[in-house]
Amino acid sequence: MLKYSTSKLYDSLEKETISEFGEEGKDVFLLIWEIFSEYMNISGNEENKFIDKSINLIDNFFENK
Amino acid sequence: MVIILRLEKIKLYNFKQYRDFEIDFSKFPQDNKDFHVIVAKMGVGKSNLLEAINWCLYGKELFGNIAKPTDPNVLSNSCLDKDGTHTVRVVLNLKDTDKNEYFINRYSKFKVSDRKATSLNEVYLIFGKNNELVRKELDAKKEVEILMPEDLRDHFFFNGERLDNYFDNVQSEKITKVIKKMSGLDTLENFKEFLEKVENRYIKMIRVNEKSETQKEELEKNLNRIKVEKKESEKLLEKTRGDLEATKKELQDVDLQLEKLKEYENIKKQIELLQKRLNDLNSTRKNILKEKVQTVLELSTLMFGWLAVEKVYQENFEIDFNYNYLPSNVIENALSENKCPVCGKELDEIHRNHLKYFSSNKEFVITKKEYMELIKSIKDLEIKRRNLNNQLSDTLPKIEETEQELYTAEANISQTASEELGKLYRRRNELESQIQQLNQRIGQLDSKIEILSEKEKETEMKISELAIQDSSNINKKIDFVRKIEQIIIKTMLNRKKEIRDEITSYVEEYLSKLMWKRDLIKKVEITENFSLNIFDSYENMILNRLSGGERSVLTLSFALAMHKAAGVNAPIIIDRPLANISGDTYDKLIEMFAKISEEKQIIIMLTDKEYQQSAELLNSLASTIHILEMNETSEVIISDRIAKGE
Repeated sequence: MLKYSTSKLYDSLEKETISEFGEEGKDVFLLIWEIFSEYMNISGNEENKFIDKSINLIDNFFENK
Repeated sequence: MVIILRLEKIKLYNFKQYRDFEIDFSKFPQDNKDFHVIVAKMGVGKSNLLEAINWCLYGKELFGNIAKPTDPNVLSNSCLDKDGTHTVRVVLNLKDTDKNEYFINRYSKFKVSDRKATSLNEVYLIFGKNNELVRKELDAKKEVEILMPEDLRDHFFFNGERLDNYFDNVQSEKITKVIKKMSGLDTLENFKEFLEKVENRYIKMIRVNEKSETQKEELEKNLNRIKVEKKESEKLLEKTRGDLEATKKELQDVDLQLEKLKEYENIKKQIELLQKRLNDLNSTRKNILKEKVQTVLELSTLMFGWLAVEKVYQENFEIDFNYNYLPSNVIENALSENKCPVCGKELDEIHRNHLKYFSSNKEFVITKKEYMELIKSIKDLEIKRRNLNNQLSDTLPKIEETEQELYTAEANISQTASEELGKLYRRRNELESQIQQLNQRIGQLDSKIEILSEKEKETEMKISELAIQDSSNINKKIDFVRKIEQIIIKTMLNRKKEIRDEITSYVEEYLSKLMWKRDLIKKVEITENFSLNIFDSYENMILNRLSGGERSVLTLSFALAMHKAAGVNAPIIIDRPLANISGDTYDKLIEMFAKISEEKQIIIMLTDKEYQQSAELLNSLASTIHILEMNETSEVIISDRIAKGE
């Protein structure tokens, strides 16, 4: 993906998250973006490990709510 | 401000037939164009120059006609490195409008024995920006990727063939992949799949009573099966939609060909009309000739008799009395006595002869009135004959003209094979039935996906229902992940629309700037599957009706739109852009290249003949013109350089 597209994707994803989650949306978006931006840089064999990491991030998000 | 990247220099060492070669694209600062022309005879190595640029950037061939960047002959004749190997090297110097200077150097080691070059599988890539060097190949590769992304390679480099077939089915698939990749759509698709895996992992975490363990396992298996089936159906649906689009396009092609062959029907009708006209004209000619023969015969009969009548009449017309009423014995007595039977005077020569006629050829004498009538008849017949001749001279050229028209029409019809018409009608029917089947298939797949989604929900619900109370937190997380999946789907749809709108508006913008036929294209459409459709003012799809030159304009407009949508401003390099173009469009295309070059650098490669055809225009528009030649040792050299302002 081109850098140029990343900013557009960011805006679109943020807009959709806020419309889905309302006020809480900003925090949810930060979580999604954290997972998504890291996902873009992992290689195929790292996926399983990254599923664990994502679950941790989601769990933490729920705990800190 | 938009940053524009331009190629300053290319250096080649031992690359194919280039032993030690440098080409410089620096231009006169006041020149508002950045348009460069490289001219060489066929076989000198224009295409290899483009291959060299591509090899330097990506380490791969471009058009598939370069196996290795080596030429054993060149290598054999060049200096050996210290380690007994030969180095093939290509160096690119680039500069952007932000005054950043880039340097890309790729080299590879080869060994030559028995006139065969063997790669030592050692390839190196060095990237430099403003004198800072990146030597690690992977990092250098990333830098190149930022500067000129490989995915967009097909939108930087062209040859005449690719300009022409850019929108065929194979290319369309490639374009779709590129758009998905550059817009992030493919990353989003993959991310959604990843989230499904996260969701499955959470489902696995749901705790149930011991009794329900087996049931839960069964339900999970079932859920996975449903998900796999749903995904396959979705993929199939996408493929079927693509097939439908392709079939519709083929149908348009067939319709277009049929439309062309409608001309065949018109010609057939025209031939029938011409044949009827020819028959009418021939029958008119026949009638005229028939009447003429009769007239001429009548006329000649009258003329034949007229000569004798004329003689008698001329000899007798002065006699004002008539002996016609006298009995023949009185005439005979008058002749023997030589006395006039009326007045008794002695007969003179004229009266004697006159009486002689009455005694022997009485019926041969005509009156003045009869004589005048005879003359009139002859004159009338002569007028009629002349009229008939006039009619004939009017009719004969018409016949000749009609015969010529018929000949031309028949020649046309022989070009349009009537067999083809039948074949096309059959193909049309096949395609229409295929479209019907594909639409049915899409409908079936849509409902199948809907049913599978329902089943998926039901199964997920059943699993949730099995959960013991302390699993409620996990269920919340599962719902949360599902919501994120929905957000991703919506974002994908938004992004898809955004990129379609963006490319469409850029294509329209460039077409209005570059297309010489202003009213040819009224609307541009990028379909759901990212294939391009263009329409005329009557809403007819006209992609396949464009001429070679018009297709080149469309291709470049699309490529420029892709550059803009991707935020990349790399040069465009085209090998033999005039190869598939008719000569009368050369100048229009050259003017278009010059126009593009006001916005970004454009380099074109031409044969000497193509250059000669538009030399004056090229000399006035191009920033630089390099003439390449092969010297006596088969090495490519620049024999001439023409640069604006020098």
